[in-house]
Amino acid sequence: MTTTHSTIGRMPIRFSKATRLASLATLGATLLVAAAAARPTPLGAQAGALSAIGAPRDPKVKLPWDTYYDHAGIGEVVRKLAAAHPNYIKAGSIGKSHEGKDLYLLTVSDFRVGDPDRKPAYYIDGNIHSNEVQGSEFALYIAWYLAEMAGEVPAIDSLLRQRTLYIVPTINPDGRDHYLHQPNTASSPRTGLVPRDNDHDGLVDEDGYNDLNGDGHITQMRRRNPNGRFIESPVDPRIMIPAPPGQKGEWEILGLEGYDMDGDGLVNEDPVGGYDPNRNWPWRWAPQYVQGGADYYPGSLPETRAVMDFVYSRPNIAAAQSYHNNGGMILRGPGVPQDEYKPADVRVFDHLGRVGEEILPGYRYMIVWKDLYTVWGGELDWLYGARGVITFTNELWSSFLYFDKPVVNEPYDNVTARFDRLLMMGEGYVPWTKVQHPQYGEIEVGGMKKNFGRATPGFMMRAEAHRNAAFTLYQMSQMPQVSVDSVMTRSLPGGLTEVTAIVGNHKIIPTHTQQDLDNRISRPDWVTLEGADPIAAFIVTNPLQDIAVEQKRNPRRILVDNIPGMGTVTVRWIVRGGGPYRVTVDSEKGGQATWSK
Amino acid sequence: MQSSPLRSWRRSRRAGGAYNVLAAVAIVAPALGATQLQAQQPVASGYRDHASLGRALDSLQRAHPRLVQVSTIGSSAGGRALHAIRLGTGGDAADQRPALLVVANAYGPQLIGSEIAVAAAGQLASSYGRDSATTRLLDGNTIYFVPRANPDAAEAFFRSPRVERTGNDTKTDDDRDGAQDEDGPEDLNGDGVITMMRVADPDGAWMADALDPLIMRRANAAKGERGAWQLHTEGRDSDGDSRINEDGPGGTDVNRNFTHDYQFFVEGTGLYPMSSTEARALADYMIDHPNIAAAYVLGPQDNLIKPWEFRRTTGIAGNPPGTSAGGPLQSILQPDEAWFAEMSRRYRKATGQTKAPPSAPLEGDVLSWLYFDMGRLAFGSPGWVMPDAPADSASPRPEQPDPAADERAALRWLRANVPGSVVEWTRVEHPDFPGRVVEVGGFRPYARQNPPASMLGDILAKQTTFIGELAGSLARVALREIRVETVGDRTFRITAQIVNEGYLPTQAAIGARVRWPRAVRVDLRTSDGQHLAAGRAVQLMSPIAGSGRSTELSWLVVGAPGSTVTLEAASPTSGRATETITLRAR
Repeated sequence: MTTTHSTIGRMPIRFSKATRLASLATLGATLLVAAAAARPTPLGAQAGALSAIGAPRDPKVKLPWDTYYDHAGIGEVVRKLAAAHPNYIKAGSIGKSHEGKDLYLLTVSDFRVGDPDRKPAYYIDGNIHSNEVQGSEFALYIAWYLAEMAGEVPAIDSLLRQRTLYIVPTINPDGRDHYLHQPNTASSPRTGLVPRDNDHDGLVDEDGYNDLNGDGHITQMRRRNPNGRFIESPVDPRIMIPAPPGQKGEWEILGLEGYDMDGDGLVNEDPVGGYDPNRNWPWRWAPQYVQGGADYYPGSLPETRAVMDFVYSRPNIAAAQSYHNNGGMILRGPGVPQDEYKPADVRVFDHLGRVGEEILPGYRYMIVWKDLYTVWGGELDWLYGARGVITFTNELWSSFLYFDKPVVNEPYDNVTARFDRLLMMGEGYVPWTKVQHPQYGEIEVGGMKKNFGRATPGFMMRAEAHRNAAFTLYQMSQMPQVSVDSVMTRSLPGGLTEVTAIVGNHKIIPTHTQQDLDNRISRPDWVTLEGADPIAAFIVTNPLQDIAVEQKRNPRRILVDNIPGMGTVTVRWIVRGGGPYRVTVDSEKGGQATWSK
Repeated sequence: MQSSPLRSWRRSRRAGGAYNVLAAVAIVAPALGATQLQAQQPVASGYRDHASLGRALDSLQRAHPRLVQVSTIGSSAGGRALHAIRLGTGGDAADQRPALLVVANAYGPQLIGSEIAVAAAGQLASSYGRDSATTRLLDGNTIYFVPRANPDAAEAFFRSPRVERTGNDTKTDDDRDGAQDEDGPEDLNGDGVITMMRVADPDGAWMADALDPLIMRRANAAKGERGAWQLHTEGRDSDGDSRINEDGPGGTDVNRNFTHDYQFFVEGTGLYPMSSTEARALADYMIDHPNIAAAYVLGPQDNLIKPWEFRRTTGIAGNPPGTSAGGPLQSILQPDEAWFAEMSRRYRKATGQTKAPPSAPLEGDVLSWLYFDMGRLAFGSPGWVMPDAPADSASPRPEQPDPAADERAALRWLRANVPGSVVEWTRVEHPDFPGRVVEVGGFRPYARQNPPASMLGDILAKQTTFIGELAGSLARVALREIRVETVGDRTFRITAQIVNEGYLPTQAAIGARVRWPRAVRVDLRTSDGQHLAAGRAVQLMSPIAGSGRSTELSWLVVGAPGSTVTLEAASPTSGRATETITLRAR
């Protein structure tokens, strides 16, 4: 069934009571607000009397933040945001998916000030894995929050003036729509939808799951069998547990819903797609026998290539985030043990990661290969390794959040099921249902629904979205921002003048990460003097002792390799002519600043 | 040592000092004019630019419409079409047969590879229907050719001044000054080619070799030597940055842009692995042709004179290489060693070549990509190696390996065999070094990689022989020794041998690891009223070695006596064999 409570008028999930309940919850919230406003306006259209701190009182675009949109729905949100906030949000696309769907891009900045493609920029994408959906909504939330709060909070205004945010809510719209509209588990599909021959039998995508009870979810299959080794949990019959030693079982577990569609004796062995989009990136890419899911070559997938082309075309991107689920992790690379992040960069990552842990209770700051598993050809490693960009991958949603404490499972129960019973009224599971299986005869299917366990529950979405947004905004505030701090002049004999300028970056992230510097990824920062004729140029390497190194050519533009985080660089010219001078610093990732007198 | 001098010079600058270097440049024969490069001319008349290569392919297709199909598989950074030739019978049925892929000229300076590819396609096509071996070959196998995988780089040969180039037309800012391709070489002595340039400098690092003064080498301070020259490629400092030719035309070297041991952040390798449209076109062509079983790569990586050998290596943290924990493979897999050894033997026999060329490193090249990442048996050779010149009796035997020995031998051979292929040091006036002694000289570009036209005929014929032999060695699956036994009432045991009648295996060991080349799939198809009681209806076979090796399978079928089942063994790279089997003891 479909419901239509959302203002964008489109519901992606058409299968269950789940959405109906979610929409009732939203409706309830709306009614409360309506009562407070005490004005007889249509439901959902009126503003509250007092804004809750951290939320716009009367947003131009009203979004519930408790539902999952399909690709068309995301497109509509993107268009509405851009239409309502022309000064702050532009809608675009970075390319097309395999199925020809746009990879929507939101550019967020104060367009009245400067060129967004020359401001220090933060890049976010979501949903690289089809089933890891909430990254898209969380990414959209940041754009919405910034635009709706502009003019209300000075820090947000200044961020919008100085920085740009590039958001690609889903870089896997084909897989997203498959997850939302087709029968799936909470973990399927992970892949995009470019057809691949998973079992190498010459046929593609010929044996996927089968929704035997037609409920839109792929759950477990079980069959009564006196020799089976499983019984139902005495606490919650929806949980199957191994029969204790010495006790006979009652059920055998037959895997996920499906049957052998191609007669090869295997079940569900070649579903849609057949690769891992997050193993398809050029840094430390390795073939499939080293890294499962790598696909043929880095960038063999149209979505990967579109992101690569976009990022290579935006050298102003200084930091990035890729949203996944789940586990409550703030991940940084390296993905493989033979890479080592540079110590200067590790200090930046550590600081940001620790702040992230504070903003996101239940999330831990971790290193991919060391604390999770080895990843060859991952996106975050490419962003840092090949582009020198400070990048995190947040694994959204954590079982910690069920009860705001670390998970401890009882012998016959688990936290997920308990949360479902106590907070979701049991909605999260499909009860065991008898069906006729074409090969196994009478069986039962049941288990966790696809929208439970990995996708954030509706009533918690906005809180988690906001905390993740806050982490992004903190990083954005700490992206490099160049400044000309002071310019001093001194007369020299012979009618010459010495002009000394201190240029600074009073943010934590340097204009060039060490990875960038060591590999000459971004051009140097340019410090340019106008208004006089420079005859020599220097970088003052030791201002205390006044030791300077001459730049032997092109004295007008001094090339500065890096302006470190929370640091300054002193440059000097000897000029003929007495000003007025104009000193400009221009950095690919750190923006521009000018001093003139 | 790298075969491109320009490249080795750049590398040496980066590494702070490899040995030598003269430029290489090559010409083919001084008499070779543009008019001789027409498609109508015999292939052996010389080398072709992009336009005449296209015309040659057109006329090949016109001459053999039932055997040859020419297609465009992509385009270069400079917008040049990337061509592929399909040589096989029966139209698109050719795409269903086990196939060999021949790739040439991904490394720009080796134009010889393109000529070999075009000549082999032409000669084999002409022999079809006349020569029984070739007819049999093309009835059973297909050969695909990508004769020029890096057309932008190759085109530099046909421009004046001629400069050896490895990069495509992607514009790059090699010196990171904000300008692209702003400081390339200039022809200072007006001879139409770019060679090396030396500038007298008492602080210079370079000195002339005592035995052949055209060779420059780094002075060894430990031996009391002093340099007297700076060494550059021929040209000026065009952008006033005190550096010469540091950012010339030429972007991505297609033969260093593939995935296996790709070198990030090295000039010429491209932005990232597979960043070039040329590399991606070749990869997509491979993906579209799962019937390609093996490849012959004409390029600077050799494993046909000196076959690849298995080396025992250790991966990350002592884990086995070729796994997630151990990292990528650093050596071929042991079972594949035999195929490389045997094809090397056949290559030497077919071509008469025995001199091992110095093989370029396996870093992002086409050859190692095809083996390690696409799982194909891939054989590589430059196609031509400059013969040994007679030893110079005047030169004393060096006590230690003498890195200049190869250079001297090459100069001797070229001076004796290819007039004009060496430019002796010539004084020029240089605007950046007024009043200083500046001299230009070295190998003419392309001379070391490409034989003179007079030698082409023999080389092309021998290479064609080898290509035919390699294509004829591919796996060929067959069904043999089919037996039906009665086990009980209406119950029959079927036994069959799945045989590989080719020489190469149905899958290389690497193919079974990579899994892109598919295993032989065996289907036993029953019909209504029959029941497969034992054995599998569908199974994928482990690799079957060639020369008649086999794997035996059996099934138990319950069905009416006299009814039939169908047995099929097939893979895109090994062919297809089918038998209808009657359920009756035989």
